[in-house]
Amino acid sequence: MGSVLGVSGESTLTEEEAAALRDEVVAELALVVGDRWVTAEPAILDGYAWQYLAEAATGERWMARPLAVVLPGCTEDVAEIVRHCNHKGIQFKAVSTGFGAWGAAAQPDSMVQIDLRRMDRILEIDAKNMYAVVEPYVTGNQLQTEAFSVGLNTHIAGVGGQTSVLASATSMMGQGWDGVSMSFSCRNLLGAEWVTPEGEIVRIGSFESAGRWFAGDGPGPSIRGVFRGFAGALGGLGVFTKAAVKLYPWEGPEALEVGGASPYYETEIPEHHLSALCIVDDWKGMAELGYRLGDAGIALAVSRNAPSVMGAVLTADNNEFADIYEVPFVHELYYTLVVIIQADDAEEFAYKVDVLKTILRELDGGMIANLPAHEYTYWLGRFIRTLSRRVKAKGLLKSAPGTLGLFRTFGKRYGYRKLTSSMSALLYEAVVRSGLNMRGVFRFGGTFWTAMGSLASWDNAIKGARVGAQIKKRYIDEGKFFDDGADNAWGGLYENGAYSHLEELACYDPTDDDSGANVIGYIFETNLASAEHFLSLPLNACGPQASTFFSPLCGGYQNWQLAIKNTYDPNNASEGSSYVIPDYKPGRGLRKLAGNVMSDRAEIDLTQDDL
Amino acid sequence: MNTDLLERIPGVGEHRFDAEGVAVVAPAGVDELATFVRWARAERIPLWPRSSTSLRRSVRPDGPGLVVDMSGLKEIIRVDRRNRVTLVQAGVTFEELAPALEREGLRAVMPLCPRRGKSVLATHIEREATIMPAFQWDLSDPLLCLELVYGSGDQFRTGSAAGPGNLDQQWASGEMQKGPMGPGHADWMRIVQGAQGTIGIATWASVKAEVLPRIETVHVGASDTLTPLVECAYRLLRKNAVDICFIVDANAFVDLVGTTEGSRAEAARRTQPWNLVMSVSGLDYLPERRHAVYSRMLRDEARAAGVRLVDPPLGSGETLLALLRRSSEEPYWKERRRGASRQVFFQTTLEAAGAFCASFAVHAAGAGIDTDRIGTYIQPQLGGRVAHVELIVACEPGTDEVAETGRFADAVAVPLTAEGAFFSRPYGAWAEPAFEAAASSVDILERAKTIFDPARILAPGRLGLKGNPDGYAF
Amino acid sequence: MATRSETRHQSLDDLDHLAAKCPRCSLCKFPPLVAVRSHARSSICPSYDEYKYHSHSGSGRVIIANALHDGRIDVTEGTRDVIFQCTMCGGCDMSCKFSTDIEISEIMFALRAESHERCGPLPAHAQVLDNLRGHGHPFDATGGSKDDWLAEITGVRTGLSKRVLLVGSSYALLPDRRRTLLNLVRLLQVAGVEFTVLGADEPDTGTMALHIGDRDLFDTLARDFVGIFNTAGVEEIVCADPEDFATLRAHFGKVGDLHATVRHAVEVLDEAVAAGSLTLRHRVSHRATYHDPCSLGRRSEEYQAWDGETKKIMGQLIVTDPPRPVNRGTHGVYEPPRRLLQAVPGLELVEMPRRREYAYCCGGSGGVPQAYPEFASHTAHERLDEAGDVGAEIVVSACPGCERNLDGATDGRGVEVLGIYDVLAEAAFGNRG
Repeated sequence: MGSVLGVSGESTLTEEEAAALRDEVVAELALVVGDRWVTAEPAILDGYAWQYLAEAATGERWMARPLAVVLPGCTEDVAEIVRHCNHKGIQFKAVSTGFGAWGAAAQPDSMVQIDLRRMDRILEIDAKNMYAVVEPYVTGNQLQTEAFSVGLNTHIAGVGGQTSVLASATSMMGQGWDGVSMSFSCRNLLGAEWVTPEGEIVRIGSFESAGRWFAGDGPGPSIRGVFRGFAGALGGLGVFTKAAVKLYPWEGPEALEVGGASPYYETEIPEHHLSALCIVDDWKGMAELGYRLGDAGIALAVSRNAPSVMGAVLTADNNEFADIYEVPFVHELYYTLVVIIQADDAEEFAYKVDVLKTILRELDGGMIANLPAHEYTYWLGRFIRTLSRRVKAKGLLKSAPGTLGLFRTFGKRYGYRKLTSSMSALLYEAVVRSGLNMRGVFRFGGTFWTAMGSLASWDNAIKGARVGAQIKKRYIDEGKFFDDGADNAWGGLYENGAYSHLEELACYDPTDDDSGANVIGYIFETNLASAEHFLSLPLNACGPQASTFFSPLCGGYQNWQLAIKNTYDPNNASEGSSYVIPDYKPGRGLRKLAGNVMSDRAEIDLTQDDL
Repeated sequence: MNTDLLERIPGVGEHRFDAEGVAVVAPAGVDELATFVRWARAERIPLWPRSSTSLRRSVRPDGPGLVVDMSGLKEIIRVDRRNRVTLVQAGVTFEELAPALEREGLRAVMPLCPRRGKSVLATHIEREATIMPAFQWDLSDPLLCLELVYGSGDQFRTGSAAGPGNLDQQWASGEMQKGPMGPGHADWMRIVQGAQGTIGIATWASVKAEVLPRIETVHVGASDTLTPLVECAYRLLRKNAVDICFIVDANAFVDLVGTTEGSRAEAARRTQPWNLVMSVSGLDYLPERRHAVYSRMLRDEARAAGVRLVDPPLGSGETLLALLRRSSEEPYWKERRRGASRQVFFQTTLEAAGAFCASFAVHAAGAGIDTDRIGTYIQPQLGGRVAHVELIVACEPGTDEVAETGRFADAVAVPLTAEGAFFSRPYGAWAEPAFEAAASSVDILERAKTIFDPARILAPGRLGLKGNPDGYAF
Repeated sequence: MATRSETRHQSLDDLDHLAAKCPRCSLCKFPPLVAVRSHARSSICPSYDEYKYHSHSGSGRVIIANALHDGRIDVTEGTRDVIFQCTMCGGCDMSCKFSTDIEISEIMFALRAESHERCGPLPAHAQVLDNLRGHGHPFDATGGSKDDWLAEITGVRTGLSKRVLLVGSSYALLPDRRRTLLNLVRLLQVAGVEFTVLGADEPDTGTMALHIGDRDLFDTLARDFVGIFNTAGVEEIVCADPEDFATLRAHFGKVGDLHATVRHAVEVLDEAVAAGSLTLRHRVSHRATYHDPCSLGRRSEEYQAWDGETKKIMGQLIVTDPPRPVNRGTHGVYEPPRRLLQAVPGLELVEMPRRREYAYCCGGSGGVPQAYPEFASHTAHERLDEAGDVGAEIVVSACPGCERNLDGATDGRGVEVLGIYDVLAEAAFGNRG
C-alpha cells in the first residue's frame, strides 16, 4: 500500500553514494566511540529497521535501514555524534530500549541510529528524597527491583517493565497500570540531561545548580515543557542521556517472592497488600467506582482491563485463551477494575480495605481478592451475583458447562483451593510488576495498536472508550481485528483520579497484507470521533499527520511545535518523522485512506452499553 | 512617557495610571488582550502583566512600559466537585476562591496564608509553594490548563483545554480541563509557568482542588532543633499520613498566628524554637477511621523522631486550621515583625534545609542582620522530595533598613547558590547567579523567548533575558 | 539412508510465520519480568551483554532470519559472526515464550543451518566438524581415545546393555574433566546402579554439528546413534554430559525414533539418595551455589512433534489445531541436583538471582569457546560475579562445558568451581578423588 503516513520514502542517494557515505560515517564515528561501537553491517542495521508497527508506518514489514548504528558510551560521545551529524548534514535518532516504529528511520541511508544500550547505569537512588537518576537503558523493571530494596517503587509504563524509564519520561508517553499512585511518566521527571539537536549538553532542573536532581523546573520557566508534553518528541528533538524520576513509597518486602515456573509464575502477595478484581454493573457503575476510589485515595493501582486482556494474562497461549473466553463468566467481565492496595500496617490496611468494601457495597458490586477465607467467600459471592445479573440479562447462562470446564482447567493447574487466589496473584503481577503485558496485546494476532486514550476526566475517558469500541466493532465485523468483544479499553486513574485514560486496544495479524491500512483507518476514524465528540486529544494525536488534523481544532499548536523544532534544530538533524517534519504534506495514500474512512464510518450510539 | 502612544491603545477601552504613576491597561477578556498585545508588539511597548492587587516586587514593573492588569477578571467560571477542579479567571483571589470551593465540598490548594488580593492564577503560574505536599504530584501542581496570550499576540489554550471543542462543548462531554499536558509534543503551560510574565499573559486557569475533609485536625510538633522535625516530616509524608505539612521557626510561627502586639507576645512566650505543623484528615469514606489511623501514625512517628506534640502557640488547633485555610489577615503575616520584609527563597532537599538556614544566618550576621529579624519557613513540596526554604527578613519601613535588607537579599543569592541552593524562581537580582549556575539553560530560554515573544515586549530583562535589540518605544 | 526432507528440522521458510511476529519488545533480553531480582543481574542474554547491538539478542537474530527470508541481506562474514556470537543457551527463547509462542531457539538453529549452507562454517568450527567426521568426536585426535579413562577405574563393564552410561566426548577426552567423570562412575557403582559404558565405541550425539549448523552431519551422527542403541535394545541411556542429554531429548526426535529412555546422571543419583542406596555422610562445609547448565535445564525439554495447522478464529486470533505444544523451559532437570546438594551434610546451598529456567549461561556452549573465546570468558566472569553476589564459596554445576568455562574465569576471586559429582563424591567418600 506504500507509505500511508507520507513520512517514509526512498533513498535520495545512489547505491554507490550511499556506500561511500556509510564508509565515511563509520570511519568518522569510530574516532568518537571506537571501532567496536559503530557499524554499517547490514545484518546489524536491520535489527533497527524491523520495528513494531512498521506495517502501519510503511505498509511493509520493515522501516528504512539507517546509514549506520553507533553505540555511545557517555553523554560526551552522544554530543560529539550529534555535532558530527549536523556538520555532515545527515540526521540522527536515538533509541533506548527501542520498541516501536517511531524509533526507526523513515528514509533509507539518511540517518545514524544512536543506540543508547551502553548507557545503562542507575546513577543514584536517593531513598530519602525518593528519586532515582538513570541512564537511557535502565528499564522499569530493573529500577523497580532496586527501588523495592529501599522501600520505594517506580511508575512503569504500560508497554512493559522491559522498556526504558528515561525514554518514557522524556520522549514517549507513559500511561501505566499504577498511575493512581505513581502518576504519568512525564509528570515524574525531575530533570534530565539533554543533548540538543545541535549537540549542546543541557542539564535541566536543580542538578546543574545544586548538584542534586530533586527538582526539574527552573530556574524560571520549565524547559521540560519545550521537549515534551502529552507526548515527547519521539526522538525528534535531540537525545536524552540522563533522567531523574520520582520514586514512590513501597510498603512491601525488599524483594517479592516468586513461585511456580513459566508460564505460571505466581508472585506471593505481600502482607498488607490487597489485589482485588472489583466488579460493578455497567459503565455508570464504573464511573462511580473510579471517582470514589480517586476521592478516597486508598489505591496503589486502579486499572481497567477488558475481559480479553484478563483472559490473556491468565492463560498460557491462544488455544487456552480461546477455551476459557467462550465461558460467559469470563467474556462478560467488562465492568471491572483491578484495585491494588498497599498499607504500612494492619490498621491502615484494614481501613483501606474497608473503604473499598464500603464503595463496592454502595455500588452493589463485589470483588475477587486475597481476603481471609470467610470474607473472600462473601465478596466472591457478591462478585458472582453482580456478574450473573449481566450474564442472565444477556441470556448467556446456557453456557454453564463451559464454566465448569474453566474451573477444571484452572483447578488442575493451581489446585481448586487456590483457584481464585491465583487470579489475584496473577493480576497483582501484571499490575504491580508490569510483567505480563505482552500476553494481553501481542499474543492474540501477533500485534496490536490502540486509539482514543486522552488524559482527561474519568467521565470523558469512559465516553471515549465507548466511542472507540463502537468504531472498532465495524473493523471486527469485517474480520480486520481480533474479536475481543469490541470493548477492550485499557487504562485507569492517575494522581488519585485527577485525570484518567482509557485507550481502545485493537489486536491483529501484522502479516496480513492490509493490516497497516486497517490500523491507519482505525486511527483516522477514532481521531475524527475524538474531535467530533470533544474527547480531548487522543494518543494518536502525535506526529505530523495527526497534528496537521488536530492543530486547527486546538489553537494551532502544530505551528508552535514547528517553531520549537525549527528553533532548536535549525539543521533538521534530529530525525522527527514521528514528531514534527518541517514542510510536511500528507501523502496521497493518507488522503485516499481518509476518503475511504469518511465514506464508511461507524454510527455512534451511546444510549446502550452493550454492543 | 509618550502619551500619544497611550492614546492609540486599541481594544481595551481606557487606560489609567496607578498609584505609582504607571500606566495601566485592563483588558476585559482574551480577545481584547490579544488585540492589545499585538499592538504592543508592533509598537515595541514593554508590557508588565499582573493579576494580583498587592504590590509585591514580582508584580511591579521593572522598567518603563504598560502594566497589563488582569486583576479585574474576577469570575470563578466553574467549580466541579466530581472532578475536583475549578476554573478561575486571572483576578480571582484565595479569599474569594476558598469559600466558594468549600461550599461545594472542596478545599483550595494554597500557599501559606497568602497576602490578601493575591491572585490564585498568579500564585500558581509563579510555581509558589503550597502547604499540602501530599497532593502535589508535579511542581506545576495545582495548575492544570491555561488560556493565554503569548507575547506574539497569539491566543492559546494549554493542556486538555486546548480542544477539540470550546469549554461548553468539553463540559458537555465530561471533560473538565484536567489534562495539564500538551496539546501535542510540548507542555505549553510549563513554558509560561515560572516565566515571571516574560512569555505570555493568562486570562484563566483550571486548578486542581482537593476533597474537603469531614474531619481535619492540626497538630504541632515541636523541637529545639530542626533535624527531628525534618525526620518526622520525611516519615509522615512517605506514609501519606498528613495533608498540611510545613516547618516554621519561632519567629515565623509568631508572625503567622499573632496579629496584635498582645497576641504576638503571648505566642512568642509559648512558641517552641522549631515547629512542624501538620494536619490529619478524614475524607468521605470512614472519616473517623482514617483520621484515627493517621493520627496514630503521626503520634508514633513524632515519638520515634523525638518530636514533642504541643498545642499551637495561640488559640486552638481549630483556629490554626481556619487560619491556614484562608488568606492572611492584615497586616500580611510576613510583614508583622517590623512592618515590612524581604523574603529569600530557594529550593533544596528537606535534609539539607538546616545547613542552608545556618549559612543564611551567618551571611545575615555579616550584613548586620540580627537573627531576631529572620523568620524561617520550610515548605516540603512534591511529597517531600523538595524543600522550599524561605527566610523572611523583617525591616522597618521608612528606614535605611529597607534598602539594606534589599541589598542583602539580592546579594545573598550569590553565596547561597554557590553552596547549592536552587533559586528556581529567580526574581530580580537572583537571576544572575541562578543562571550562572544553570548556564546550559540560558540559550534554551533565550530561544523560547524568541518563539513566544519575538519582539521581547513582555517583562523585558526579567530572568536575565535579552531585550529587543532595536529598543522599545518607551 | 533417509534424506533431509524426512527429518523434522525446520527451515527459515517453515518458521517465517513465527519470526514475522517478533515485535522487537526486548523481553528476550531479560528473565521473565516477574523474576527480575536486581538491576545488575537482570540480563538473560550473554550475547547481547557482550556485543550490545540489538542484532545480538534473540529478537535481533529473529530479525536476521526475517532479513534473510526477505532477501534484504546475504550471509556475509559479518552476518555469520552475528549468527554465531551466541551461546545458544535458549534464555531468549524461554523469556519470549513466557508471553508468546515465537520459537526463537528453533529459528536460531534454522539460521545457523542456513548460514552453514550458504557460507560454510567459521574457520574455528571447520576443524570441529572435521574432527567429528574424522574420528567421531569434536576434539583433536591427539587428545587420546574415548576409553582412556577406563584405565583409571575398575569394575566398569563395557558394551551395550539395558542401561548405558553415555559418558560423552568432553568427559571422556578432556583431562581436566576426568576426575569428575571418575567420581560419577564411583557414585553409580557404590549406589549399585547397573550400567555399561561404550568406551572407544561410544558414538557422538552430534551436538556440536547441530550447534554449528551442519545438519547433514548431525543427521548422520544421530541416525548412527539411534541405529546402534535401538538395535541393541538399550532401554535407558544415562547421560553424564547434559549437552548429550539435551541433544537426545530435544533434537533426536527430529531425525529418528530413539527407543531408550534418556535420563541424566543427577536424576539417577537423586533416586539413589532417596532410596538410601547412596549415602552422603561426610561434611562439605561450604556455602555453595548451583549453576543450572542450560543443557540440563531449559534446553533439555523433550521434543514434541506437531503436525497441525495454524488458523485464525474470532477474526484475528491465531490458534493451532491441534494445539501446538510449546516448550518453555519449565520441565528441565532443576530439582534433582538441588535435592542432592541439599542432602550433603554441612553444605549451605544458596540460589543466585538467575536460576532454573532463567539461569544465566556460563558462556561455554554453542561453539562460542572455539570461535569467540573472549566472549566465553566474559560470560563466565559475569556468572561468577553473580555467584559472588550471594557469597558462594563454591559454584557447583553438572556439565563439563560449564565447569570448564567457569573454572577458567575464577582467577583470584576466591571461588572454586566444582562438578556436582565431585561434591557428591566428597560427601559420599570423604574425598573428591
